[in-house]
Amino acid sequence: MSQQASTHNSDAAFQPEGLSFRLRRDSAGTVWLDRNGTSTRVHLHLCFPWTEPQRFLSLRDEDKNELALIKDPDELDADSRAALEKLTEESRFVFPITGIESADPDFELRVWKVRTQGGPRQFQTKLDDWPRPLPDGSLLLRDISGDLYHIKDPDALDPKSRRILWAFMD
Amino acid sequence: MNTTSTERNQEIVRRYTGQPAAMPPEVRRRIEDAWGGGPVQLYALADLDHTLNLSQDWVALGPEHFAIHRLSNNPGSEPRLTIVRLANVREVKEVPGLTCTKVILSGQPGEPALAEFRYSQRQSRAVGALLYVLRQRIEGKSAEHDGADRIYAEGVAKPIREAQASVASNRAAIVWRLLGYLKPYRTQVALGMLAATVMTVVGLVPPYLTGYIIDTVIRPFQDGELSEEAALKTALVIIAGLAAVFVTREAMTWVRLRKMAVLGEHVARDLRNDLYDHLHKLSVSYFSSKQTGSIISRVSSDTDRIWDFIAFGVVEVSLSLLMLIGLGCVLIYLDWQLGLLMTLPVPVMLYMIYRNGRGMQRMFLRAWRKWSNLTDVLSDTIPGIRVVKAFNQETYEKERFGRRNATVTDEFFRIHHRWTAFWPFLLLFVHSMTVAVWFFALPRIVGADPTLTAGTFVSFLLYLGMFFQPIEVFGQMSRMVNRSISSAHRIFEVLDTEPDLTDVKTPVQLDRIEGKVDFENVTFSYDPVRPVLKGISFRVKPGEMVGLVGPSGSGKTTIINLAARFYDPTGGRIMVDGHDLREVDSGAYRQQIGMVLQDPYLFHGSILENIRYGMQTASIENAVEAAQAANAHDFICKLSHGYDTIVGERGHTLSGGERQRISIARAILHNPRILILDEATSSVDTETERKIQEALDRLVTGRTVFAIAHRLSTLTRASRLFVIKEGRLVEQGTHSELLEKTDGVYRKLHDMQRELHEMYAV
Ligand SMILES: Nc1ncnc2c1ncn2[C@@H]1O[C@H](COP(=O)(O)OP(=O)(O)OP(=O)(O)O)[C@@H](O)[C@H]1O
Ligand SMILES: [Mg+2]
Repeated sequence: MSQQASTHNSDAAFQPEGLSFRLRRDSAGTVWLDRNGTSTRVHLHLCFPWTEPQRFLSLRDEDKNELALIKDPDELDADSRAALEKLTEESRFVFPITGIESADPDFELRVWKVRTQGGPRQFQTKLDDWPRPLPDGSLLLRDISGDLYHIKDPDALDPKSRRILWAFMD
Repeated sequence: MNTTSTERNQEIVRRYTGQPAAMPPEVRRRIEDAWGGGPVQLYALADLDHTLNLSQDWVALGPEHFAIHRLSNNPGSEPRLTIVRLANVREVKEVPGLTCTKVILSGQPGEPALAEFRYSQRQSRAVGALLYVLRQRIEGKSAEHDGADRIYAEGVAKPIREAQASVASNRAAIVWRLLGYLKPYRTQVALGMLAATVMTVVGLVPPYLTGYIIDTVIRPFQDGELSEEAALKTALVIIAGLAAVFVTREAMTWVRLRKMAVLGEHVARDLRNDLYDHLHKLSVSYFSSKQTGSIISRVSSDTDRIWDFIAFGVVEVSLSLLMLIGLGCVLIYLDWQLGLLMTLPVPVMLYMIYRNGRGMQRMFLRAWRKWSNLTDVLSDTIPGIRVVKAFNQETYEKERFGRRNATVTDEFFRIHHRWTAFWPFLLLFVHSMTVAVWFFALPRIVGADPTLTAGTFVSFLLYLGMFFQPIEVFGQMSRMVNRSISSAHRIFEVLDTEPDLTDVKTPVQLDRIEGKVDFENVTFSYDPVRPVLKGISFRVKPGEMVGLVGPSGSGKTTIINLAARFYDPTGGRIMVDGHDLREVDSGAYRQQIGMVLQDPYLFHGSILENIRYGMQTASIENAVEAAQAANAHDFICKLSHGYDTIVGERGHTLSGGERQRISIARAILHNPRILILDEATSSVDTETERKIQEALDRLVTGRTVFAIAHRLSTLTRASRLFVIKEGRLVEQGTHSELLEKTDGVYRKLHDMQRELHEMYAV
């Protein structure tokens, strides 16, 4: 933590909800939370990455102590919102799958060969690890290293991908 | 770790991730040229660029520099290099996301970052190793590192190895290796195969005889060309031949089934023994990286499936092939036109079966998924039934189960619709061939100039009936063979795991150790880079009791793991009675070590058996004495079955403190020279703790003791205390000596505990 950063967690309790702080992005790309004249470098934790990705954003310091819980970004001023936007983009990133080449078992693993927006990728899941259906009808896959893959609209994929996916969908 | 395991890891990286198995030489050269100071010591792939597209950027660490090598977006132009002097880096920050982690190297506060890169979780071990060393360097500490290729490949391959636990191997190699297990029984195999071959070939005879009897006996007799006497005589010979054929055939079937069934058991038994023996050679690290269930199923159900393969798979598949070829030849021999008519569609049918199998596989997969949804409800609610009832959610759970039950049934319906339609369809195809045979054959029999005899035609029809069986076998066997190969793969994977601890060729036999234990500058790490112990040195005299204290995660358990030689140190050495532990016969050594752990393990069996575990020959008297010394005798006798009470899994459940006292009795009976107590009294009430403490006091006399405790009060008997912090021995001395150091770690721990005690004391 840098020298100017100091946190007074107790202050938070006395602040009314809402605009008691501002978020600011510096030239190095770090996002700071300014409150009562102190600046703290913050990380973003999504409370509901899938059911409510835009709401309930938990801002935490280096030691993962919660500094603020943003129930809705609309509570923030425009600059803070912009800084927040930058923060969320990368932390929320998962590989967006645009097509599936194959999903064949290889002994204990299922080997997925997929196209993602950022290029082709090959990953593995355990044989009995099924894609997780999300409330919005999309599918989420998690590979054995922990990387996440998202199929936004399974029905919009090409016929071959859909045929492969058929066994994994309801 | 040796080169071969690095090569294996590289093979896995190549095969499963599609990313380079090592940093390409030209990238390495370019980086080294650019920073002009020493070799690349560690590297990792940064596989996401700033737009979060996949990329192949490399990050590298040298003695004085950090570098990022980025391929340019437009092909043809030079890659971009970012070189950062380590001296300028003040801080390394990681911003973890769901999948992408961003790393920022920053210099002076307020200035733009010196460098940043992004990577997906797949690279996290390799990047983590690099960042660890980088941070150590920034803090001015030297960090050990060697084998950049090894660390990179191991880091990327590890999750794959853990999940599939596989060395990349192909199916043919596995079948071949499996067949190798038949070698010791080769005469038996030969006999079995011979019997099977005879059985098949002989099976082709009856239809031929049928045709023959029609053409040479019945027809000539009906046409008046053969006398009744001659006809009967020939007929009898043929009937006798037929009988002989059937007898031979069934005799051969008996030989084949028996030989192969027995052989299958032999092989399964051999594999089970090999596996179990091998498991005991593997070090504890193997078991901590695998799920118990998966190891157990390899020894039990996987070897069982091998029986299927040996007893049926091998023979049935090769015989069906033989049968098909034999039938084809016989048919073409009997009549080449009709023969071709019959054999040519066979590949088509095999293809249809194959296609059907593929389609069914997808359906099975889907059904399997729904099935596991259903069983998930069960494994959720049955253990959690009290929560369900407490929150009155029975109706919800019943509906949830009912819904999933309905969907899984729908899937089964789908499967049944498919196969029930497919087989009649296939049979119809076969029958249409029969009709075609009739259609083409009859004009040739009844025509003016018959080119086909009635006997040949009948034989033909009978052969036709035999055609379907081998084809069906292929359909059924492919599933079974596939499953057996997967099982074999899992078995070989264990057998191929090399133990990381091996005894030297001629180990030193320590028959009765004195108990002098020296740690000489011992370092140790579980993973490639992060050291857990950083140069621990101490000397424990025979019969001395030392206490290990320190914050959680400081490395206390690790120290005793090394003392028991569950692992070997990465650096330095451990001497017992003046011998390096690595040169000591580990079996004989462990024989003289006793351990009482926080969560003691009792085996399934009686309490007596559990106490005698490790000293099976001890007399009952001694066992009872040990139990008395352990303060366990009293409660054991109160159990209705006394020492014969069955404990362990599914047995009588004992409380934590009771189990602990049984394991102390076990250690007392075992009479070890070196005793290890890892938080032996951490989770029991004060009364039980006092009892256990009394038992321990009896146990510790006259041997070397390492005792770990969080409650410092339990270490009053220790002659010296070692305070461990972050992998180092920071303080040592007696309780009162340590308390004198007013700003010492021990003093702090002590004060804190006293405060807590006073705060919560009733
Ligand atoms: N099998 C393992 N694989 C990888 N890391 C491990 C393993 N066992 C322990 N560690 C790590 O080594 C460090 C030291 O662990 P150790 O168990 O020796 O601590 P400890 O002092 O016994 O702590 P505690 O008081 O909580 O039992 C910890 O950071 C832990 O995460
Ligand atoms: Mg421990």
